[in-house]
Amino acid sequence: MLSQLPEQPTDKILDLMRMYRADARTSKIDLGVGVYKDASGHTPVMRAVKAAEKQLWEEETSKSYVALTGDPAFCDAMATLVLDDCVPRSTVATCATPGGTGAVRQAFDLVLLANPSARVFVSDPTWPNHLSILRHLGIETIAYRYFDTETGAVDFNGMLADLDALRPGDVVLLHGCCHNPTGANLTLPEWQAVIKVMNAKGAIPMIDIAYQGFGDGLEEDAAGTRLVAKSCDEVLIAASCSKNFGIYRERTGITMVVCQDDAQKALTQSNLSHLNRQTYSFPPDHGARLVSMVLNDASLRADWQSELEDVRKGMLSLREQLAGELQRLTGSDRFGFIAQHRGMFSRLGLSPQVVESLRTDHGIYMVGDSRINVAGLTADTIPILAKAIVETGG
Amino acid sequence: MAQDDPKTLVSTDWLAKHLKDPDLRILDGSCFLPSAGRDGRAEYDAAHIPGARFFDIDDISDHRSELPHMAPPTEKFMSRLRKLGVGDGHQVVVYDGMGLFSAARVWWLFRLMGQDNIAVLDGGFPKWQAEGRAIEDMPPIIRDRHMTVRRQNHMIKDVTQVSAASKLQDYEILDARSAGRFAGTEPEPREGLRGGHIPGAKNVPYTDLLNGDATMKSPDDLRAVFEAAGVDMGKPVITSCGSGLTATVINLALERIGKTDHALYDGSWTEWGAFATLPVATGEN
Repeated sequence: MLSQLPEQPTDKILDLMRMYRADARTSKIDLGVGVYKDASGHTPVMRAVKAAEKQLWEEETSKSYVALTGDPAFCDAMATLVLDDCVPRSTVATCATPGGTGAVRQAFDLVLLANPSARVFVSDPTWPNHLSILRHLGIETIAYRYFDTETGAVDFNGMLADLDALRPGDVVLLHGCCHNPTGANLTLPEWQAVIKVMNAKGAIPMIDIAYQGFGDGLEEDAAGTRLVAKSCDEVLIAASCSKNFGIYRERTGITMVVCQDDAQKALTQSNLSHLNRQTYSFPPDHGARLVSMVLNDASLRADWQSELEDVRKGMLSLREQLAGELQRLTGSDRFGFIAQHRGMFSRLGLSPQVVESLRTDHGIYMVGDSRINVAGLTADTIPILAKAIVETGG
Repeated sequence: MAQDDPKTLVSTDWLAKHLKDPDLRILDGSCFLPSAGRDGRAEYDAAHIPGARFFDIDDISDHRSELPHMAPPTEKFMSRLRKLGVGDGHQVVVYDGMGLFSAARVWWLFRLMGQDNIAVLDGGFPKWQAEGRAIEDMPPIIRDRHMTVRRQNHMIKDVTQVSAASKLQDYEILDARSAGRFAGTEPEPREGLRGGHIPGAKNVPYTDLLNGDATMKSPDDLRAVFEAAGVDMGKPVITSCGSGLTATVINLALERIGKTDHALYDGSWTEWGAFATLPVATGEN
């Protein structure tokens, strides 16, 4: 039987990590995988998370099951973090999931239960795992134009033109903030325009928000998601705690579904329970518990927010330094978009040949589509990267 | 009823008839004074003439200047218009939410950039709505288009050129602000500005050029307004106002009556009124 298994494509980012580790040069720079790193190249445990863990170790008296859809305190805290009070909590169905990936998977599984013929419109480009999950589920995907490689900004005209092909019941996958991999994001008036189109076409928005707090701030980064939640009848949301709480390996995420009324919510909630039950029964609890402890304790929360702000501002500063250095070396504003982008990533718009030459000649590792992880840079490596880009004719 | 002229002014009837023309592009150029408490972009999002795109006067301006909505660098104008899907070969109609207020500035900007195929919608959005014509709230589907731009520098004057004209009196300087602000008896809406006007300037309040429904007066009536203000039509004209919006209503009116040697003082009173070293005159025309 096992010999009948199909070959699976390897993950390009994980391949890149392997090549980086095998590179003997000490000057090598890793701008590949989407993990936050501080100036010393380390991915730290956040102070508030560490404090919550200590408290939990002392106070937790049982490891018995919690609930099929996760600890209600976690679900409430996350619903408030993402949606604030833009819709009544009683109309939001929720289930805790293993990470943001699990949340995306459950949301699309729910789509499949409700409407097997739904098509999902995805930005070109989007996070490769979105496409992989949709392919696995057998859901048809349609790409909409999103990124203008010439300007480094959102190709909004192209996006609206492509969304014109939406049919009732189709799903539009949107990134809540910090678009992965491009770093280019919709403005609020653009969110408003997309909402109008989705509502006019009878399409359902699905928002993946994995980087809340990494862009313009916790509240600012949720503004588009909240606008959609209060303007559309039915909204699917997948949120991740991996980056903003730095708990990647704990696998902490949540699927939220904004429903039209309490009855629809009850039906949706029972379907989410069913999905959890038949995939893994109970979602992981440790990370979720840490998140609700941090969010519900005033002093832990304040400390977490201030550390998250430092992380965010650090990345903004790296963006400005890189854009400034490239401006100085090229004498043009061609790379000015790096400072306009938000989140951990920017797509530089370099050709595959340049990306390869940066890797082989300079030991600089970025994803093949020229996506860089800004957090992989430091004040010392920025001039090296900028010089290498100019030298390779990027 | 004014005569339709696709290079200056067209009626709502004309626009309704040409609404489906493939080479027609409609722009909402609404921009309000802060005191009006209105948001052009939000009003556009709520309702606009079918197919209209929002021309953001504050965004499509020179952000290096501290003065409000100064004429943008040529390349910025080109790139923004590309994104609005407005390019070579298009007939453009621009309107605003006041009737005729900021739309004239968009008309003037196109002229500055060497694009003449643009007309202001007479009576603007209020007249269009009052006549019960089609509106929509959906964003239009836009395809990028290229526009060839040749900047016409004779259409714009800076503070040194206006200062020289004020001394030499070789231009007619026409001020579109209200009589009270021109005389210095009514306070300026922007803080820190002196009251009064550029020495030698003549007062032609832009509202004098309009009918009660914010449509533009007939060419004969326009001539009578300039005559009553004592304007020597043999001299070239520099227009001015508070910040370079309503002065362009005078430019449009002059073009309408066949007088083509007119320019805008883009800095207007926001600049002149703030310069302590520049002379100020007070009193009426």
